Amino acid sequence: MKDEDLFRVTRWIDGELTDQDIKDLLERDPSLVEEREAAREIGQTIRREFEAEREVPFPDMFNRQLFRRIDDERQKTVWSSASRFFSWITLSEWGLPLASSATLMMFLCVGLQFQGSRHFRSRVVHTFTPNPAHVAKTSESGAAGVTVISLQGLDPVPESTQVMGFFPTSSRKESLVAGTTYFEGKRPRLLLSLTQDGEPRLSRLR
Amino acid sequence: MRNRRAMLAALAAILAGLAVAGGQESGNPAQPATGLPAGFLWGALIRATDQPLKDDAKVLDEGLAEHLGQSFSFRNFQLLGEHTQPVSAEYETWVLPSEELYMKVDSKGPVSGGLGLHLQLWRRQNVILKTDVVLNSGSPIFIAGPKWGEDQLLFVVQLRDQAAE
Repeated sequence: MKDEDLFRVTRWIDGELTDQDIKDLLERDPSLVEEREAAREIGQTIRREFEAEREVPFPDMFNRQLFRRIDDERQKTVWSSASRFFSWITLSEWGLPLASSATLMMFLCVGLQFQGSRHFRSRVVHTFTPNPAHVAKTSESGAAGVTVISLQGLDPVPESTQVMGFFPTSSRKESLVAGTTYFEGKRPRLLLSLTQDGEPRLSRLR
Repeated sequence: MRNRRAMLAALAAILAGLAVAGGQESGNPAQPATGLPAGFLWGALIRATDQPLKDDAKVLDEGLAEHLGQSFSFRNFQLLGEHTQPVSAEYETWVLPSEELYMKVDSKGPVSGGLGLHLQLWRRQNVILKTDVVLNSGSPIFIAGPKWGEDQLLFVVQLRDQAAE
Protein backbone atom coordinates (compact mmCIF):
# COMPACT_ATOMS: atom_id res chain seq x y z
CA MET A 1 0.00 0.00 0.00
CA LYS A 2 1.25 3.39 -0.81
CA ASP A 3 2.16 5.68 2.03
CA GLU A 4 -0.55 8.04 1.02
CA ASP A 5 -3.15 5.30 1.10
CA LEU A 6 -1.88 4.06 4.44
CA PHE A 7 -2.23 7.58 5.80
CA ARG A 8 -5.85 7.70 4.60
CA VAL A 9 -6.61 4.34 6.16
CA THR A 10 -5.14 5.44 9.49
CA ARG A 11 -7.26 8.54 9.49
CA TRP A 12 -10.31 6.42 8.63
CA ILE A 13 -9.61 4.06 11.54
CA ASP A 14 -9.27 7.09 13.87
CA GLY A 15 -12.64 8.34 12.69
CA GLU A 16 -11.38 11.39 10.84
CA LEU A 17 -12.51 10.05 7.44
CA THR A 18 -15.79 8.38 6.55
CA ASP A 19 -16.31 5.20 4.55
CA GLN A 20 -17.14 7.36 1.60
CA ASP A 21 -13.78 9.13 1.78
CA ILE A 22 -11.89 5.85 1.22
CA LYS A 23 -14.45 4.11 -0.92
CA ASP A 24 -11.83 3.34 -3.55
CA LEU A 25 -9.58 1.65 -1.00
CA LEU A 26 -12.43 -0.36 0.52
CA GLU A 27 -13.42 -1.58 -2.91
CA ARG A 28 -9.85 -2.62 -3.54
CA ASP A 29 -9.41 -4.31 -0.13
CA PRO A 30 -12.62 -5.11 1.84
CA SER A 31 -10.58 -6.63 4.70
CA LEU A 32 -9.83 -3.12 5.84
CA VAL A 33 -13.16 -3.16 7.69
CA GLU A 34 -12.01 -6.07 9.84
CA GLU A 35 -8.73 -4.31 10.56
CA ARG A 36 -10.60 -1.24 11.73
CA GLU A 37 -12.80 -3.32 14.05
CA ALA A 38 -9.72 -5.02 15.49
CA ALA A 39 -7.98 -1.67 16.07
CA ARG A 40 -11.08 -0.28 17.81
CA GLU A 41 -11.30 -3.34 20.06
CA ILE A 42 -7.66 -2.95 21.03
CA GLY A 43 -8.24 0.71 21.83
CA GLN A 44 -11.24 -0.08 24.03
CA THR A 45 -9.29 -2.78 25.86
CA ILE A 46 -6.44 -0.34 26.55
CA ARG A 47 -8.80 2.33 27.76
CA ARG A 48 -10.59 -0.17 29.95
CA GLU A 49 -7.45 -1.54 31.56
CA PHE A 50 -5.50 1.73 32.03
CA GLU A 51 -6.62 5.11 33.39
CA ALA A 52 -6.74 7.79 30.73
CA GLU A 53 -5.44 10.41 33.12
CA ARG A 54 -3.03 9.67 35.82
CA GLU A 55 -1.89 12.03 38.48
CA VAL A 56 1.82 12.86 38.31
CA PRO A 57 3.47 11.50 41.43
CA PHE A 58 4.90 14.30 43.64
CA PRO A 59 3.92 17.12 41.23
CA ASP A 60 5.91 19.82 43.08
CA MET A 61 9.04 17.76 42.85
CA PHE A 62 8.33 17.15 39.22
CA ASN A 63 8.20 20.91 38.53
CA ARG A 64 11.40 21.49 40.51
CA GLN A 65 13.14 18.76 38.59
CA LEU A 66 11.88 20.21 35.35
CA PHE A 67 13.09 23.76 36.06
CA ARG A 68 16.39 22.46 37.36
CA ARG A 69 16.91 20.60 34.13
CA ILE A 70 16.14 23.79 32.22
CA ASP A 71 18.69 25.78 34.29
CA ASP A 72 21.32 23.10 33.83
CA GLU A 73 20.84 23.29 30.09
CA ARG A 74 21.20 27.08 30.18
CA GLN A 75 24.41 26.91 32.25
CA LYS A 76 25.87 24.41 29.84
CA THR A 77 25.26 26.92 27.05
CA VAL A 78 26.96 29.76 29.00
CA TRP A 79 29.99 27.68 29.97
CA SER A 80 30.26 26.48 26.44
CA SER A 81 30.44 30.07 25.19
CA ALA A 82 32.90 31.07 27.93
CA SER A 83 35.15 28.12 27.27
CA ARG A 84 35.17 28.99 23.58
CA PHE A 85 36.18 32.57 24.48
CA PHE A 86 38.97 31.45 26.81
CA SER A 87 40.14 29.01 24.19
CA TRP A 88 40.47 31.92 21.78
CA ILE A 89 42.57 33.84 24.32
CA THR A 90 44.97 31.00 24.89
CA LEU A 91 45.19 29.73 21.34
CA SER A 92 45.09 32.97 19.36
CA GLU A 93 48.32 34.86 18.60
CA TRP A 94 46.78 38.12 19.75
CA GLY A 95 44.55 36.81 22.50
CA LEU A 96 47.02 36.27 25.33
CA PRO A 97 49.04 39.48 24.82
CA LEU A 98 45.88 41.57 24.61
CA ALA A 99 44.35 39.94 27.65
CA SER A 100 47.56 40.42 29.66
CA SER A 101 47.86 44.04 28.59
CA ALA A 102 44.21 44.70 29.35
CA THR A 103 44.63 43.25 32.84
CA LEU A 104 47.73 45.35 33.40
CA MET A 105 45.97 48.50 32.24
CA MET A 106 43.00 47.74 34.44
CA PHE A 107 45.24 47.60 37.50
CA LEU A 108 47.04 50.74 36.34
CA CYS A 109 43.81 52.66 35.90
CA VAL A 110 42.45 51.49 39.23
CA GLY A 111 45.70 52.52 40.87
CA LEU A 112 45.66 55.95 39.26
CA GLN A 113 42.01 56.33 40.13
CA PHE A 114 42.90 55.63 43.73
CA GLN A 115 45.85 58.02 43.51
CA GLY A 116 43.75 60.68 41.92
CA SER A 117 41.01 60.36 44.49
CA ARG A 118 43.49 61.39 47.17
CA HIS A 119 44.25 65.08 47.48
CA PHE A 120 47.23 66.41 45.57
CA ARG A 121 49.79 67.93 47.88
CA SER A 122 49.80 71.73 47.92
CA ARG A 123 53.04 73.19 46.66
CA VAL A 124 54.99 76.42 46.64
CA VAL A 125 55.81 77.73 43.21
CA HIS A 126 57.79 80.85 44.08
CA THR A 127 58.78 82.88 47.13
CA PHE A 128 60.07 86.41 47.58
CA THR A 129 60.96 88.38 50.68
CA PRO A 130 60.87 92.16 50.15
CA ASN A 131 63.34 92.65 53.00
CA PRO A 132 66.75 91.42 51.81
CA ALA A 133 67.63 90.49 55.38
CA HIS A 134 64.93 87.86 55.30
CA VAL A 135 65.26 84.52 53.58
CA ALA A 136 62.45 82.16 52.65
CA LYS A 137 63.32 78.49 52.37
CA THR A 138 60.88 75.89 51.18
CA SER A 139 61.03 72.27 52.23
CA GLU A 140 58.89 69.19 52.21
CA SER A 141 58.11 67.57 55.50
CA GLY A 142 58.40 64.01 54.36
CA ALA A 143 56.61 62.35 57.23
CA ALA A 144 53.72 64.80 57.22
CA GLY A 145 53.62 65.23 53.46
CA VAL A 146 53.33 68.98 53.98
CA THR A 147 55.14 71.90 52.40
CA VAL A 148 56.87 74.20 54.87
CA ILE A 149 58.15 77.74 54.22
CA SER A 150 60.72 78.80 56.80
CA LEU A 151 61.32 82.51 57.15
CA GLN A 152 64.78 83.24 58.46
CA GLY A 153 66.23 86.53 59.67
CA LEU A 154 62.96 87.82 61.16
CA ASP A 155 63.12 89.98 64.25
CA PRO A 156 61.73 88.00 67.16
CA VAL A 157 58.54 89.06 68.88
CA PRO A 158 59.47 90.43 72.29
CA GLU A 159 58.63 87.95 75.00
CA SER A 160 56.63 90.56 76.85
CA THR A 161 54.39 91.24 73.88
CA GLN A 162 50.88 89.89 74.19
CA VAL A 163 50.09 88.33 70.84
CA MET A 164 46.35 88.44 70.55
CA GLY A 165 44.49 86.34 68.06
CA PHE A 166 41.07 86.74 66.53
CA PHE A 167 38.34 84.39 65.45
CA PRO A 168 36.23 86.43 63.01
CA THR A 169 33.01 84.82 61.95
CA SER A 170 31.53 87.54 59.74
CA SER A 171 32.34 90.90 58.18
CA ARG A 172 30.64 94.04 56.96
CA LYS A 173 31.85 96.58 54.46
CA GLU A 174 31.84 100.12 55.81
CA SER A 175 31.10 102.81 53.25
CA LEU A 176 31.95 105.77 55.50
CA VAL A 177 35.48 104.67 56.30
CA ALA A 178 36.10 102.61 53.17
CA GLY A 179 36.96 99.57 55.19
CA THR A 180 35.63 96.30 56.51
CA THR A 181 34.58 95.47 60.05
CA TYR A 182 35.14 91.93 61.26
CA PHE A 183 32.93 90.44 63.93
CA GLU A 184 33.33 87.62 66.42
CA GLY A 185 29.73 86.62 66.67
CA LYS A 186 27.95 89.92 67.10
CA ARG A 187 30.93 91.69 68.63
CA PRO A 188 32.99 93.92 66.28
CA ARG A 189 36.67 93.17 66.80
CA LEU A 190 38.67 94.48 63.86
CA LEU A 191 38.49 97.21 61.28
CA LEU A 192 40.53 96.79 58.12
CA SER A 193 40.98 99.82 55.92
CA LEU A 194 43.30 100.41 52.99
CA THR A 195 45.27 103.53 52.20
CA GLN A 196 45.38 105.00 48.75
CA ASP A 197 48.53 102.97 48.15
CA GLY A 198 46.77 99.79 49.15
CA GLU A 199 48.50 99.48 52.51
CA PRO A 200 46.32 97.80 55.12
CA ARG A 201 45.46 99.47 58.38
CA LEU A 202 44.24 97.13 61.07
CA SER A 203 42.49 98.64 64.05
CA ARG A 204 41.36 96.67 67.07
CA LEU A 205 37.86 97.59 68.13
CA ARG A 206 36.90 97.56 71.76
CA MET B 1 56.50 37.40 13.83
CA ARG B 2 54.39 36.07 16.65
CA ASN B 3 56.51 37.95 19.22
CA ARG B 4 56.32 41.18 17.23
CA ARG B 5 52.54 40.99 17.07
CA ALA B 6 52.39 40.33 20.78
CA MET B 7 54.58 43.35 21.50
CA LEU B 8 52.49 45.56 19.21
CA ALA B 9 49.32 44.44 20.95
CA ALA B 10 50.80 45.13 24.36
CA LEU B 11 52.10 48.56 23.30
CA ALA B 12 48.73 49.56 21.85
CA ALA B 13 46.94 48.53 25.02
CA ILE B 14 49.44 50.40 27.22
CA LEU B 15 49.14 53.59 25.14
CA ALA B 16 45.37 53.39 25.24
CA GLY B 17 45.42 52.90 28.98
CA LEU B 18 47.82 55.80 29.51
CA ALA B 19 45.55 58.04 27.44
CA VAL B 20 42.61 57.12 29.58
CA ALA B 21 44.57 57.48 32.82
CA GLY B 22 46.00 60.81 31.71
CA GLY B 23 42.55 62.09 31.06
CA GLN B 24 41.51 61.06 34.51
CA GLU B 25 44.58 62.56 36.17
CA SER B 26 44.30 65.95 34.50
CA GLY B 27 40.85 66.50 35.93
CA ASN B 28 41.08 69.43 38.28
CA PRO B 29 38.66 70.42 41.01
CA ALA B 30 35.90 72.22 39.16
CA GLN B 31 36.03 75.96 39.67
CA PRO B 32 32.90 78.03 39.58
CA ALA B 33 32.32 80.90 37.23
CA THR B 34 33.93 84.29 37.75
CA GLY B 35 32.52 86.21 40.69
CA LEU B 36 31.69 83.16 42.76
CA PRO B 37 33.97 81.92 45.60
CA ALA B 38 36.57 79.42 44.43
CA GLY B 39 36.73 77.68 47.78
CA PHE B 40 37.48 78.92 51.25
CA LEU B 41 40.86 79.76 52.67
CA TRP B 42 41.47 78.95 56.30
CA GLY B 43 44.30 80.82 57.94
CA ALA B 44 45.49 80.23 61.48
CA LEU B 45 48.09 81.70 63.81
CA ILE B 46 49.64 79.02 65.97
CA ARG B 47 52.02 79.16 68.88
CA ALA B 48 54.52 76.34 68.84
CA THR B 49 55.91 75.67 72.27
CA ASP B 50 57.54 73.06 74.44
CA GLN B 51 55.62 74.35 77.45
CA PRO B 52 52.46 72.57 78.50
CA LEU B 53 49.33 74.29 77.35
CA LYS B 54 46.87 75.84 79.76
CA ASP B 55 43.50 74.19 80.16
CA ASP B 56 41.67 77.01 78.41
CA ALA B 57 44.05 77.01 75.44
CA LYS B 58 42.37 76.33 72.14
CA VAL B 59 43.56 73.06 70.70
CA LEU B 60 44.05 72.15 67.10
CA ASP B 61 42.49 69.48 64.97
CA GLU B 62 44.26 66.22 65.78
CA GLY B 63 45.47 65.57 62.24
CA LEU B 64 46.86 69.06 61.89
CA ALA B 65 48.58 68.85 65.27
CA GLU B 66 50.20 65.61 64.21
CA HIS B 67 51.48 67.12 60.97
CA LEU B 68 52.83 70.12 62.84
CA GLY B 69 54.57 67.80 65.27
CA GLN B 70 56.22 66.01 62.37
CA SER B 71 57.29 69.27 60.71
CA PHE B 72 58.57 71.24 63.73
CA SER B 73 60.56 70.27 66.76
CA PHE B 74 58.03 71.55 69.30
CA ARG B 75 55.86 69.46 71.54
CA ASN B 76 52.69 71.51 71.75
CA PHE B 77 50.72 73.72 69.40
CA GLN B 78 48.19 76.30 70.52
CA LEU B 79 45.65 77.92 68.26
CA LEU B 80 45.86 81.67 68.84
CA GLY B 81 43.51 82.79 66.08
CA GLU B 82 41.81 81.59 62.94
CA HIS B 83 39.85 83.09 60.10
CA THR B 84 38.13 81.53 57.11
CA GLN B 85 37.44 83.64 54.06
CA PRO B 86 35.90 82.81 50.69
CA VAL B 87 38.46 83.02 47.91
CA SER B 88 37.10 85.25 45.20
CA ALA B 89 38.15 84.71 41.63
CA GLU B 90 38.02 88.49 41.07
CA TYR B 91 38.91 90.32 44.28
CA GLU B 92 41.60 90.10 46.90
CA THR B 93 40.76 88.63 50.28
CA TRP B 94 42.20 89.26 53.72
CA VAL B 95 42.67 86.46 56.24
CA LEU B 96 43.02 88.00 59.71
CA PRO B 97 43.72 85.61 62.57
CA SER B 98 45.78 88.27 64.36
CA GLU B 99 47.31 91.73 64.10
CA GLU B 100 50.80 90.26 64.35
CA LEU B 101 50.56 88.05 61.28
CA TYR B 102 47.82 88.15 58.66
CA MET B 103 47.53 87.44 54.98
CA LYS B 104 46.36 88.97 51.74
CA VAL B 105 45.10 86.46 49.18
CA ASP B 106 44.70 86.88 45.45
CA SER B 107 43.36 84.08 43.30
CA LYS B 108 45.19 83.14 40.13
CA GLY B 109 42.61 80.62 39.08
CA PRO B 110 42.66 76.86 38.75
CA VAL B 111 45.92 75.27 37.73
CA SER B 112 47.09 71.73 37.38
CA GLY B 113 46.85 70.16 40.82
CA GLY B 114 44.72 72.75 42.56
CA LEU B 115 44.03 76.46 42.94
CA GLY B 116 46.73 79.00 42.15
CA LEU B 117 47.03 81.75 44.73
CA HIS B 118 49.29 84.71 45.33
CA LEU B 119 49.80 85.12 49.07
CA GLN B 120 51.27 88.04 50.96
CA LEU B 121 52.10 87.49 54.60
CA TRP B 122 51.98 90.74 56.56
CA ARG B 123 53.56 91.40 59.90
CA ARG B 124 51.96 94.52 61.30
CA GLN B 125 52.59 97.12 58.60
CA ASN B 126 55.14 95.19 56.54
CA VAL B 127 55.03 92.46 53.98
CA ILE B 128 57.48 89.78 55.03
CA LEU B 129 56.69 87.17 52.40
CA LYS B 130 55.22 87.06 48.91
CA THR B 131 54.61 83.62 47.53
CA ASP B 132 52.83 81.90 44.67
CA VAL B 133 51.33 78.59 45.69
CA VAL B 134 49.06 75.91 44.38
CA LEU B 135 46.69 74.86 47.11
CA ASN B 136 44.62 71.75 47.16
CA SER B 137 41.78 70.97 49.49
CA GLY B 138 42.96 69.38 52.69
CA SER B 139 46.67 69.95 52.03
CA PRO B 140 47.96 72.82 54.18
CA ILE B 141 51.09 74.93 53.84
CA PHE B 142 52.98 75.81 57.00
CA ILE B 143 54.89 79.07 57.33
CA ALA B 144 57.39 79.31 60.14
CA GLY B 145 57.32 82.88 61.42
CA PRO B 146 59.23 84.83 64.03
CA LYS B 147 60.43 83.50 67.33
CA TRP B 148 58.47 84.56 70.39
CA GLY B 149 60.65 83.98 73.40
CA GLU B 150 61.26 80.24 73.51
CA ASP B 151 58.27 79.68 71.29
CA GLN B 152 57.64 80.31 67.61
CA LEU B 153 54.70 81.71 65.69
CA LEU B 154 53.45 79.63 62.80
CA PHE B 155 51.00 80.61 60.11
CA VAL B 156 49.00 77.83 58.47
CA VAL B 157 46.96 78.17 55.28
CA GLN B 158 44.62 75.55 53.96
CA LEU B 159 42.06 75.48 51.18
CA ARG B 160 38.72 74.16 52.29
CA ASP B 161 35.56 73.26 50.45
CA GLN B 162 33.28 74.63 53.13
CA ALA B 163 33.25 77.72 55.28
CA ALA B 164 33.40 75.81 58.54
CA GLU B 165 34.78 72.33 59.10
